[in-house]
Amino acid sequence: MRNILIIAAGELLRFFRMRSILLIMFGLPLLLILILGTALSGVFQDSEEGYQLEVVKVTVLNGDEGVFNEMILEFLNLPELQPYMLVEHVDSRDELFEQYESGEIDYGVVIPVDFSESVLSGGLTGWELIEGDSNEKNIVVRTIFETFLSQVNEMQARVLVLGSEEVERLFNQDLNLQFEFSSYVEIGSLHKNKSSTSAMQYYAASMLVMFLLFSGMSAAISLSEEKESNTLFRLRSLPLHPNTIILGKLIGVGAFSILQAILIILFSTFVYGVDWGDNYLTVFYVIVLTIVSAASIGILLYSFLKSSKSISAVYQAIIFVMTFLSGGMVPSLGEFLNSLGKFTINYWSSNTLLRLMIESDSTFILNNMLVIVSISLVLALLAGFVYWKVGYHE
Amino acid sequence: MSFIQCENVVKRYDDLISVDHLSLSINKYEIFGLLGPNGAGKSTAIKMICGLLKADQGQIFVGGVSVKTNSIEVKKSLGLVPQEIAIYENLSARENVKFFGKLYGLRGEELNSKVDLALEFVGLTERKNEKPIKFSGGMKRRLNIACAIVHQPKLIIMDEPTVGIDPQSRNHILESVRKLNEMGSTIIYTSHYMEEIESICTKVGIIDSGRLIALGTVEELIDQNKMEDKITLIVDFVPNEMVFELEIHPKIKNVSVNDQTIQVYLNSSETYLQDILFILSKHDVKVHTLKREDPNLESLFLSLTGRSLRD
Ligand SMILES: Nc1ncnc2c1ncn2[C@@H]1O[C@H](COP(=O)(O)OP(=O)(O)O)[C@@H](O)[C@H]1O
Ligand SMILES: [Mg+2]
Repeated sequence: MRNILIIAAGELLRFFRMRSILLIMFGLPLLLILILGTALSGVFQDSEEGYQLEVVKVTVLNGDEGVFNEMILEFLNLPELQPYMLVEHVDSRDELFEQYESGEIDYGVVIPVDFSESVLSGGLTGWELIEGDSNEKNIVVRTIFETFLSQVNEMQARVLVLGSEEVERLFNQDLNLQFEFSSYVEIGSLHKNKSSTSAMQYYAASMLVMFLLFSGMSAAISLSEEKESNTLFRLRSLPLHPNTIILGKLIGVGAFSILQAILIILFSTFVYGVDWGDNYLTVFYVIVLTIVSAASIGILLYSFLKSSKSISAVYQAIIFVMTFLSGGMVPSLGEFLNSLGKFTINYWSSNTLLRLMIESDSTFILNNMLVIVSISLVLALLAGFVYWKVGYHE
Repeated sequence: MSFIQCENVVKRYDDLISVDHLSLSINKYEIFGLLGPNGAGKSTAIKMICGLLKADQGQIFVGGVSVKTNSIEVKKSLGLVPQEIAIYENLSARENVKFFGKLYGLRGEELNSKVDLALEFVGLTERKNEKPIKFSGGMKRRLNIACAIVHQPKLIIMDEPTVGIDPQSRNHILESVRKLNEMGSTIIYTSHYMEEIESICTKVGIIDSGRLIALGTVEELIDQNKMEDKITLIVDFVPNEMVFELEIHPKIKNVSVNDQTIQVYLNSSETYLQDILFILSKHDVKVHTLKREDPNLESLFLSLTGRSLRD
């Protein structure tokens, strides 16, 4: 254990000796947050008043006529939601898509005909959310609807436990099942300070994730540089247990990444006024899991590529593509590219960070965390397996 | 049992036998030289002794401990100076030595004093706070050594520690090998320079194509093998007929020509030197310089393999 820490400390010391790395890892993200956050704040904010978010035009096709119908309508007309979305109803899919295609609306929702029934019978169901071009608006509306649906889910859980008649009875009596709508309004916290804060928030999250991925890359490069400088050979001639070297190096890289994250978060909070929410523990988990994924990709690349140069080229390409697809550079890429974004680490990590900032309902955060844990677990296992096969020697 | 014992050690890479049934024993306090041309299998043998590479066959013991089953124990009392320079370029010389010293289990006062001792030993005290990026090849080689001796190991293995450096650094290194030995370390020293091996080693093994072809002290090796003498002649011109006549002489083993330099290997030059001079005068060749060399490891290698060490 002592030796692992010695190697980790050595790793950190060498990181801090490389001025260029320090500048890139600590300075560049802060600069990029500032540049993207101010230059692209127009993408987020068109309104003249500055801090007012533009109202999102939402069109709803509501096929449901079951017990939930009334509640849905009531929800859609909640006064608290009026500043955020303007709801219009249509009667057919064609109509909805016509409006969507012509750009008249920002967002479309289709509520299935058998929605209430499915909920009550414990079946799988959901709303079809048709996202528009603006990432910002999508986040607002998605958060609102997903919060609503999560409460429906909760109710469905009760159905499964209590039986549908019981719930229907309770529901009709209006007992204790009033929805807690206050959380939708929390969306406003994204915009409480300045006009550009929301863009800042957005880029603070996506740049943090991007640079955590870069730190994972530095793990891969450090592994192969250790090999290229023959110091790996020397390390292997020392009385160390087999996995000491790799563990030490990974811990060193992890510590470096966490320092980087802390610096970005503190600096963006105090200088740029970014609000990271108050769930620090979960933010920390997201960061650690992102680092785990990044380092795992690093190990995989290290195992398949020969030189540190090719590793850094390939890894950089991967990071840029992932960051781009996840909307980390330009928020709206159109539907197709945005949907590809869901296959990236960046999407899940920065989306979760954004949700933590706006203090979304814990159900989504939990769902997102589940995805993040799975991604990092799969990558870590894969990396562990490949490492076990390929090993780490000169 | 000797301090180091190799028994029938074999290492193959696909079709190539890199180390071929190597059996060898080295006593404590010896400076053992492993001499052989590039690709002979020296580094491969060393890696197996250090437990960095698994032998396909055979056994190795260091201080009675099997390398195969207990390599960590073996590594504790061992310092390896790798053939390739293995240091961190962006840590200072002292930080390099200290880092490896810590991993050898040194700490506190002992760590600091041994680090300084190692740096002094290789003559880097004055530049200990500089980064090796600025160092010459010789200084890097010396730092490479310091990192391996910081824990004052019982066994020091140096794999071609003088490749590509200036004569001054080379002498410094050879001198420090002797000193380390006097201070109680057993040393294995590999090289393809026979001068180095001859000047410092108490025992020599000659290796070629993975096989140990000779083993003993320098004197023993030369005596045992009834070595040929080598005569070097510098002449004004070299007619082919003359070379032919030299080659067919029954007592002459080998003739090699390079410009105006002729090298002749033969048994007992005292007796046959006249024959050579006679052949030369027959072809009207004038001799500018004539030099007779005592047999050495180079000529031994040549007589054993028919090739020169440096090829
Ligand atoms: N990892 C390897 N893979 C394949 N062949 C190798 C490897 N390492 C060494 N060899 C071969 O084994 C032989 C001995 O190499 P080596 O021990 O490095 O020689 P030396 O140190 O005496 O110059 C050479 O022919 C070399 O090409
Ligand atoms: Mg070698």
